Amino acid sequence: MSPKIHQFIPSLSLRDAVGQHTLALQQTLIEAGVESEIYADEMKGEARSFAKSYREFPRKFQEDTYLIYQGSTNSPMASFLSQRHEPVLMNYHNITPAETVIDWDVGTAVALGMAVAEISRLAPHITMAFTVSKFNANDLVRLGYKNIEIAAPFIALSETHPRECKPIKHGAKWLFVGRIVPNKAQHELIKAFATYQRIYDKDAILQLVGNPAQKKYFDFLQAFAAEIGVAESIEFLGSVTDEELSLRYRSSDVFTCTSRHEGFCFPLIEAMRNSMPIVAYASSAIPDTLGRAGVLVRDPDPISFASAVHIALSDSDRQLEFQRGAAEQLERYSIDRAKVENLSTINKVVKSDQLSRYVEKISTKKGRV
Amino acid sequence: MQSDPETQPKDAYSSLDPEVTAFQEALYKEVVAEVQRRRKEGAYPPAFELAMDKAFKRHAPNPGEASVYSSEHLLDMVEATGFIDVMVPTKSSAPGVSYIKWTIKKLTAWYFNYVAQQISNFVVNLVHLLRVIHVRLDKLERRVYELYPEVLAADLPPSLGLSIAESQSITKALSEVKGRVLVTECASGDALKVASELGCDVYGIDHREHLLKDADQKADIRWETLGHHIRSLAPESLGAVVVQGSYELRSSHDKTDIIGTLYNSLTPTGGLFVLLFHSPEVTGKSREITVATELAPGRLFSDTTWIYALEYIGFSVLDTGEIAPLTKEGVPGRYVVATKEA
Repeated sequence: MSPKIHQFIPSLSLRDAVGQHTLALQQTLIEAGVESEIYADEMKGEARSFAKSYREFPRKFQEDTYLIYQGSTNSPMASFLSQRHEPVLMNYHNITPAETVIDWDVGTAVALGMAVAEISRLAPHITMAFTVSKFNANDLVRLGYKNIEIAAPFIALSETHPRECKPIKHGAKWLFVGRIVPNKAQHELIKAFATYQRIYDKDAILQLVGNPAQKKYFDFLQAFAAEIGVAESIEFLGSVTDEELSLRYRSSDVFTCTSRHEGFCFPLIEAMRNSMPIVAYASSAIPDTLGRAGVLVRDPDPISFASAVHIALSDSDRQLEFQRGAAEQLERYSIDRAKVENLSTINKVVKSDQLSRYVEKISTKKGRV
Repeated sequence: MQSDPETQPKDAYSSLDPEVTAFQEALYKEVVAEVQRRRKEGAYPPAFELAMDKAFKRHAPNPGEASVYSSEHLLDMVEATGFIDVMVPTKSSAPGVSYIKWTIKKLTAWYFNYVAQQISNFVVNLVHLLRVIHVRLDKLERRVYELYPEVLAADLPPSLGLSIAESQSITKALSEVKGRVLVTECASGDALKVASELGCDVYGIDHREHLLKDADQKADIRWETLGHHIRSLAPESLGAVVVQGSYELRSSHDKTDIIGTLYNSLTPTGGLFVLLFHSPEVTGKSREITVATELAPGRLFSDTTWIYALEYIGFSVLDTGEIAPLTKEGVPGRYVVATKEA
């Protein structure tokens, strides 16, 4: 008999990374011949046609059924799942530490603190947890989880774009993609950018793509940029369409990231697909995701970051090395690899011959058996 | 410049595979060399960094402001949820159930009203008590904050500035250091300059912004307090520390707390600790020294006490001796060179 593997996600959105991962995992499970549904607490827009409300899940115990919780925020689902008798697996996506936002938004900080407590309370009810990075795995250990595995995330497919390696000494275009929130630390990026303009390239520009999710922080960034004299060189682009985003990646010279906390950092993968040199602070999961595709800045000060950008942009041989590093990372995070790693991990609990055969089939196709 | 312990290298690098680590280590050396070169050119003067920090502080919320707001907000929430609504909804889609619910509600209303009233009274009184405590705590916090600048104002008089240039024991030890060197209160004394000339990868901190215009514009100086800076240091990230300045005038607890934190920030394989200080006998050498030392929250330590404290924390003392004053009119001081045991 074929097992049933259902996923539970607090909020399903087709545009965010967790939503895309959940849908891709469902698709993979269905391809493997497993019955799989998505249950959500909140569904936005078109997402309603991909999921059911978790309140519709049968109350009685379901034979040969496994439940996967996509843990990313607080939700009444956590309590619901803790009372189920089917095996529950946690697919953890990391929660931003409350202390990174508390000075800017108390409400969000309180919600984040509650989410962490909730994920921790769920630990005794979880058969196995899996997550996308070693950094997240360490987080799970701190939250009281024991049986933890690492599996690559499903990342939405998009084309790769080659790029000519050449020194850029004038009018460099910096790009960062991510919501405008304190834990992404765009203020650190502005400091580093101001330093770069002063030392290396007065015509450089900084493009910040992302929804200004916290108005107080957004207002602060604008006032801060104006006071240190770089406001005219910074573009706050807000949310953009997929086409516009793709264009920004292709037309920018360097992807820059000073984020303090990332469970994985998906925009780095998009920058690699666009063959961009990357410069990022060595925080949280970023070193693991970046690999050799760019410069990790260890000292969190603006001049180190600005100097790293200069090094990345001024040497075409170095840019070629980064592109080779990016190719390694893109292979590591390919769709086939995500399928194999996620299904193999899940099958450690499910122990289904059907899943094993499917994993073997994909592995053989990719020549990795 | 403010730094965040979360972004420090130790945790971030621990999970990388050795090839990636080697690749990033090589890049890191290039970045450090480029930073040093630009600083020496004067391309990144301390005044520019300080101006950015000041602009940041002017516009960013005060640290801790939110937590005060948070406690008020939480008290409001407790007060709001302390009200118990006994008007239970009685609607029902099932026939007759609505009437049954209404009857139960009527029959039990006297009991629930009585209990709910007592719980509400308790919550109101509890919240009132918590608000009183909150106001008193807030006043206390403000008072402590107001006192803080006074503690910082107890700076060491210029006549107590010391020079390490002629101390062979210190210069020899510094010349052999691997890793970054931190010099505290670097705008006075010559430790930053001497360490730089010895080829050390050195930076300094100082909180006295009035010394900015006379400071070396090509040196790596961060304009922040010692307390703030050491809290942001990553464990085992420094090759050496030269501690000098007004730390001497702090309370015994503060002094040992500073030394203990710096101990943790030193590399375990031979991290070097250089302490410059003055023995209690300097009090009375001049009017300004007497005033500064007698008004200070803490008293000066002798060699014996410093060596005892350093060994208690875990250091091995290598050498101790006298050190020359920075100016002819100055007063000599003492030094201890110690190392962190592996």
